[in-house]
Amino acid sequence: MDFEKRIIKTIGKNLENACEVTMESSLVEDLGVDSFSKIIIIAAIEDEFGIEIDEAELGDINKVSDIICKLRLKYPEIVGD
Amino acid sequence: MYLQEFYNRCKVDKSLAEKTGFNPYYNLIQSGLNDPLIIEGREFISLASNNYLGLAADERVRNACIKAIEKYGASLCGTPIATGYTDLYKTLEDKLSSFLGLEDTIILPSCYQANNGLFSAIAGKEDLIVADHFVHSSLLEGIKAAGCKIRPFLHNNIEHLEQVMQNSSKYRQVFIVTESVFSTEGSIAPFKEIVEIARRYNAVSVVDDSHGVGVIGSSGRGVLEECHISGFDGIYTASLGKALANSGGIISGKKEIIDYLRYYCSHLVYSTAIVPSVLAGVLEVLAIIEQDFEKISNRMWNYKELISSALLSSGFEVIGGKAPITSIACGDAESTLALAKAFYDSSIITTPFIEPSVPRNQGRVRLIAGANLKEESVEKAAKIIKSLKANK
Repeated sequence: MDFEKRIIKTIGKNLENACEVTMESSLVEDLGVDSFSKIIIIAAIEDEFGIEIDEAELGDINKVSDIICKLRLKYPEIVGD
Repeated sequence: MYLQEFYNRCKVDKSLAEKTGFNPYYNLIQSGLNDPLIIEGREFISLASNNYLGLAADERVRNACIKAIEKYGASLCGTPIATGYTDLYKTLEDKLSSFLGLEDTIILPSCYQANNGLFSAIAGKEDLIVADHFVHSSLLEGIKAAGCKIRPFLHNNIEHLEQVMQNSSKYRQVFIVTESVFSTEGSIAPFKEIVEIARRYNAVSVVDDSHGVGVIGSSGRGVLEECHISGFDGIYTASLGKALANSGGIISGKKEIIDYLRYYCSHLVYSTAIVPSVLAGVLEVLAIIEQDFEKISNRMWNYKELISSALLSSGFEVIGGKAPITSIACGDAESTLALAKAFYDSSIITTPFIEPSVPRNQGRVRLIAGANLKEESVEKAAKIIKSLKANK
């Protein structure tokens, strides 16, 4: 499975309410993510890729695509997994 | 100039209240929790307080408070560790411990302080706290203050908790934190399963039973009785200001940890001791529960049924919890306040919840019918509910 699909699947499995997740999904408006559920998502990505993410690095994210862009830049080693 | 900027930043955003023509906060109440309740000269049916068993204005409780004031005065004007620890204080600690089936208890000025002060006393940066996504602000702020790693799990989701715990082995100590009854909609945590997971991973389970003590369990002893948990080896917190009808909060558990907190929980050590009238009031409430729980709680559950049935038959979207809390799903903040206003205009006080107390667009209006209400008041409330829906 490619990187983007793994991220989207991981986010989808870690939401309170099942909903469709796409690259363009807004975390707050579309997925109902609050500050605590953002920690759930970050921790799940850490487990999925075996990395440790500094939460501050994902401070200003609005869309799923923002998470993917930030991770590509900060953790290039996980993209090709 | 800078000072003015500071005050400008600190202004309350009242746009929602202005838009809906209703501010449900800081109602000026001019009576005790009687039926009716008096607000600004008007009579209301209160479906808003956490006075589940209706004992806050009970004559026996009032008299116990008065007697304590006659003996001890209004306050001991000192912290428990200094001059605030009376024989009455010790009697209530012991009584609460035996009531809950736990070894020892400390009493703080509020459960907010109990939850806020607990984690910085027992956890540090080498530890992990795993908490239900929807835990109360007091727990969340307390957890953040400890400075340790935090991993929330999806609400009441045991499978997700187990997944999180599988990645927890590198920490010095893991704590699993939840509430027994989640107050915005009355859902009850699968706490027996949570305790089993905690035991399997050598984690410490922590439960806030504020909306459970005096309410759930066959004799009102809360979540441990409800879930048939014996020999609880975790940490228990609860409010004394809900079914126990007074004020204050407690932390209970094994003797070693409670003794440790007596000296190292700064929220206890540096707070003026809870006043004698409150200590005596809680003791009296516990005595009433031990004597009359079945009768009083039957009334509370009957009232819940009356209110829930009226809401359901009127087409409201009711969130069904197993606690004596009935919540209406309202959607966005504006719709939530609009419904609370409709109740208010019909002389019923409710509790609206909007973000950040609940997730965005998942507003709730909560109704709790305490056992102190007259049956005719609850029937009148049920009729009003039906008319509210008919007028929509």
